[in-house]
Amino acid sequence: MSEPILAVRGLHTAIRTPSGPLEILRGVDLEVDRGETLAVVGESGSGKSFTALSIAGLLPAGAEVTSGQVLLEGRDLVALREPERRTVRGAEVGMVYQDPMTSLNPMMRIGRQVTEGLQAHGWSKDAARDRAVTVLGEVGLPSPQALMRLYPHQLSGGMRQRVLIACAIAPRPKVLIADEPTTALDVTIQQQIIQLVARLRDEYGIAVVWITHDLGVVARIADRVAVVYAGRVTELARTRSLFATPHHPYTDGLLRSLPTPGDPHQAPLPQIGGSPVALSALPPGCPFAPRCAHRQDRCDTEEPPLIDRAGSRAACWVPREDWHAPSAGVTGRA
Amino acid sequence: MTPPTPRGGVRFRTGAVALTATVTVAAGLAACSPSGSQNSSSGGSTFVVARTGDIDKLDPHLATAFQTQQTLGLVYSTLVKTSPTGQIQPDLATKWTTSSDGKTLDFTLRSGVTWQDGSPFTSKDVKASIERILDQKTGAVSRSNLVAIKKVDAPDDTSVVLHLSQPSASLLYSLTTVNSSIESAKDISAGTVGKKPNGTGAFAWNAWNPGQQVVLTGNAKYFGGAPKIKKLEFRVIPDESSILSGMKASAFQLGLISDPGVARQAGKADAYSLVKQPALAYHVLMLNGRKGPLKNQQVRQAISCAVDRNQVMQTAAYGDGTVTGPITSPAFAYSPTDGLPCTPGDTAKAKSMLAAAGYAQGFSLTTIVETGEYATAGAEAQNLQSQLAKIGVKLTLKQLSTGPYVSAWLDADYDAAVALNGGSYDPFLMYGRYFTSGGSLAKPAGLNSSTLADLLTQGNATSDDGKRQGTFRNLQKELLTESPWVWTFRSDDYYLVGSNVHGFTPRPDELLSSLTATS
Amino acid sequence: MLNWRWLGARALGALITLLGVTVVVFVVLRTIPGDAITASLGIESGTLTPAQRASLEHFYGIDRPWFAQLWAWISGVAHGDLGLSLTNGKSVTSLVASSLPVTVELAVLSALIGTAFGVVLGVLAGSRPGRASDSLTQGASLVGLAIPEFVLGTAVVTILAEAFHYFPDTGTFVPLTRSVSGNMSQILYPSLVLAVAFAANVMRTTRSEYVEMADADYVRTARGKGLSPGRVRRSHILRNATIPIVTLTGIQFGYLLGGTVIIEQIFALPGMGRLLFTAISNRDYPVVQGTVLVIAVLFVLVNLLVDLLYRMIDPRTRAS
Repeated sequence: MSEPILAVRGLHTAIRTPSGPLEILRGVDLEVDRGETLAVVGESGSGKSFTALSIAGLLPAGAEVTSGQVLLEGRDLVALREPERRTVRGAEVGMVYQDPMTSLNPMMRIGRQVTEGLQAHGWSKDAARDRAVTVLGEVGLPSPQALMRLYPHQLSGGMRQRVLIACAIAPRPKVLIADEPTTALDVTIQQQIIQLVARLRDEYGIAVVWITHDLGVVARIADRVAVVYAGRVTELARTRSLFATPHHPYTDGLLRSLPTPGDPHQAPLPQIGGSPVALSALPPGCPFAPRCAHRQDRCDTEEPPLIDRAGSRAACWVPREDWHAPSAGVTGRA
Repeated sequence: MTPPTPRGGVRFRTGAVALTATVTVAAGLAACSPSGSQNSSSGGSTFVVARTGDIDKLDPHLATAFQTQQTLGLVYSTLVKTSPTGQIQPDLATKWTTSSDGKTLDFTLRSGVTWQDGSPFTSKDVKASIERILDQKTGAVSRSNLVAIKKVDAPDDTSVVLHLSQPSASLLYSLTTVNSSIESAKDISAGTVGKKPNGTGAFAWNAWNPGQQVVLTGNAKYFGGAPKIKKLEFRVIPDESSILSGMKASAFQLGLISDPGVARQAGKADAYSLVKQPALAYHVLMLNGRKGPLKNQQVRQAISCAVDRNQVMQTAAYGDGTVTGPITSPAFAYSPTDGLPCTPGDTAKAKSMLAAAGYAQGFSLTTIVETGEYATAGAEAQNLQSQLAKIGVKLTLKQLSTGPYVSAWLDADYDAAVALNGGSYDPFLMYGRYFTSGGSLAKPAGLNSSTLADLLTQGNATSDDGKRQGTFRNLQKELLTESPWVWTFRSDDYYLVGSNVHGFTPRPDELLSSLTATS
Repeated sequence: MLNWRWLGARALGALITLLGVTVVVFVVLRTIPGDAITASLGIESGTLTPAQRASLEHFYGIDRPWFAQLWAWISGVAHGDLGLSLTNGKSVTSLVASSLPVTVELAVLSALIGTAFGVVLGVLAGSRPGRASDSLTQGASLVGLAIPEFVLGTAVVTILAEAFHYFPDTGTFVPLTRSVSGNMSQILYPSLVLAVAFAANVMRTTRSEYVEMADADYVRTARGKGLSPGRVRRSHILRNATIPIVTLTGIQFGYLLGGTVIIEQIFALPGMGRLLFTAISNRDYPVVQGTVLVIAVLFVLVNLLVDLLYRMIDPRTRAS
């Protein structure tokens, strides 16, 4: 296996609160290969967005990476000084954001919003303009030449998201991080965007990190999945394996709560009992333990690292075969 | 560890510094620019008088604002004028005689006088001017003071004869005011009076920039001798502190202020001296003797006794003034309290007087106070309020701006009024319209008194100075005894005189006549 | 970009506004107790005989019923004649024409200085929220807003006189066209005094807009593209913060036009504020009406200009 193009090792990120620093990411480990799509899944508050921002170096004021590495082709981005980091941002690591309505500057023409990202990395004005027209066409927008002169409010939500994608891939980055890019769009557009990103990934050979909370999307686009809970990766597996045989009770719970066509009509969906853990009040040991059906004594005292389990890695002391009830995996999708 | 993404920049700090530096340099340059330098008072350049108001009209027959009178008083002349101490002196008339029955006044006019437009001055101008004032269509304020004139004759170019319906010693004094200025008959018949002032005075009209300045030029042909000042400018500086600052910077030669608070800040300086001049106007608490408890003379006397006039003066004007009785004319100076049945400020006596009149528990008086016209009204009112509270008389103060105040004052729509009333060189002119029967200001007078009316008519009916002195002394006594009002003090006018200025003497009537001789 | 229908609609609205202002001012003026006669004569007006009073009322034109006076005035205005001043007989048009440039220049200069300082300081504070520069700047702006302009103005005049033996007034107003240094010596200091409160307001708005914009999603997008901080600040943060700053400047400028009275008094500038104030005291109806009308026109024009600016700056407003 070739060296992963992007590897995150032991990433800790904390935010400054009035009562002291609060750790959001408590040691995240991920990797993505060239041309591969990694889905990062979790609930709101699990830390998946922060992971994306930490990788891109776009943390808001008051948040910073406290330790760990973000290796892009072996180069640690965290250790770079800001001016150097800036050359990487955009040119080598592109990012697409969740809300296309607010992520574009309402007072700047579309064309400029694409070309400025190129000119910031040394492209000449003419080359940038040509590239902008090309890439707007590549993301499937009609009449790119005319579109350059339009303003965001003149486009629909789906078109704006395509523009954002165009901005991100225009400088031909090596990695594209997509932070829930389809959450704010309706289902048909969602499908189009997913297909677009897949196509671009294949054409350009970029690595895609796709943040989402929607397992359906994961099934459609991801090669590998990282499940995030309470600021750590709890399971890392190939998509098919994850859906078929989850090795972490949290993943299992997530899968069970998905509605399937065979479910009885209007029957309540199974839920994971309890509520998501508060990062400021973490119990010792495994953070999922209070809600876990398969908990053992060791889970309450020691937090498990990622353990190899038949090709996947899961942060759980209890192997599948020792779970109390047999897990039903989900078959038939991918 | 990632360093936090920097957001601000050194750029903006430098930007702010650069901006501040530019503005400071510009301000410094502006301050040192040559047009910011001062005028000196040496002959040839402009003599600048700074005052807070602008003139409001160009017709002396209609002018009541003191700024207008000050300015037009230098452009026009009158038949006779007064010295600062109240003596009648020749102006356009060199000699005058009164008939034995007092009903005819004969004036000999000066010859060789020319109007500023070049035409010669004759008795026709005097006749036309007086008739104009008497004509009701003109709306001239001094008409009521000249109404005794039945007929004006101009037998030859240098004689004017006034025929009166009854003797009136005050008529001569009325003829000295700016409102009785002599205008050119030509201007009157052409209807151009009030367009461009044309007089026989020491200064000729040059220009008027409304709201900014009036410029006069010295009249070389003035019959009193060409003034040393060649160019006289009245500049409007609305804020008195700014006038003071301007005097400190030697930007003006003369500054007129009236606020005792500003005068206090003037202190001593090299650039000017502060001259204080008692005015003819008097501060008074007018009582409406036709209402309620005030109908009782003893009550009014009690109020008058309770007020320590000195205290009012100290509080309102920091002591810049003189305690006064009713008459402020310089030639008729009498004791300010002789006639009162007590020593003013004797609270105990006042209280017993009030009790004897049947008002031991006191009462309240709605008192109007004028705001925005002169500086001391509010302080006076509050001091009077606190002093009278000691005898149980409660002054309920109603602060009114000029419009409503004047309406209420004219209608006597008050129990009491804190007022600043104009004075005159002649006591009849001061009180005739209040206390004679049928006087135009009988309402605000507050009461009818045949004694007062008789004394006034008596004093006015004779020109014998000895008789007048006696009669008016009795008038003052009677006014203090009757106590229709409580007279407190005359305040000082303040003149900031530049150190280069010589020969300026202020007057109690606030006219600037000495500028004809100033340098 | 210039939509004629939009402009036409605005012009019509403006005309109606002006008419409304005129009538209201007209009526209110005449309800204020006192008239030109009592204003100029004071208590001496009590000595007038009825015939004299009637004659003066006719002379001042206040003897007719008020709607007749209103009609006469409006028809005059339609012909460009604003009437004559009751106090000095000069044409109101000439009085306004000589005082308007003073007030406009004062307002424009104060607005320029105030906006420049305000924006610079606002960005300084907003780009480092919570730091020393932020607290200092905010504190300074509070002081600037709290000090009444008459205190500041009088203090400036006094200090200039005592310390520098200088008084910023030379008699007649020197227009900018005649002499820049002469004009500046009269108008720079009063403008600086007015600019203080102006700058304080602009600074506060700029700062809060900046802080808000800096967290906006599209700013994050811009940074995500790898743009330099300066580029981000200029093209994204400031450009989008302009709208509220423009709004605020427009509003303040409008108020400045009518609110320069106190500074004009202290610095003896013959502007419209002083003209209006004196005219009201004198019950000089034609001058008050004429001046208020002109101020209202200016206000409307400034508003129109601000709206035009919006359309130029913010493409979203062009959709209609």
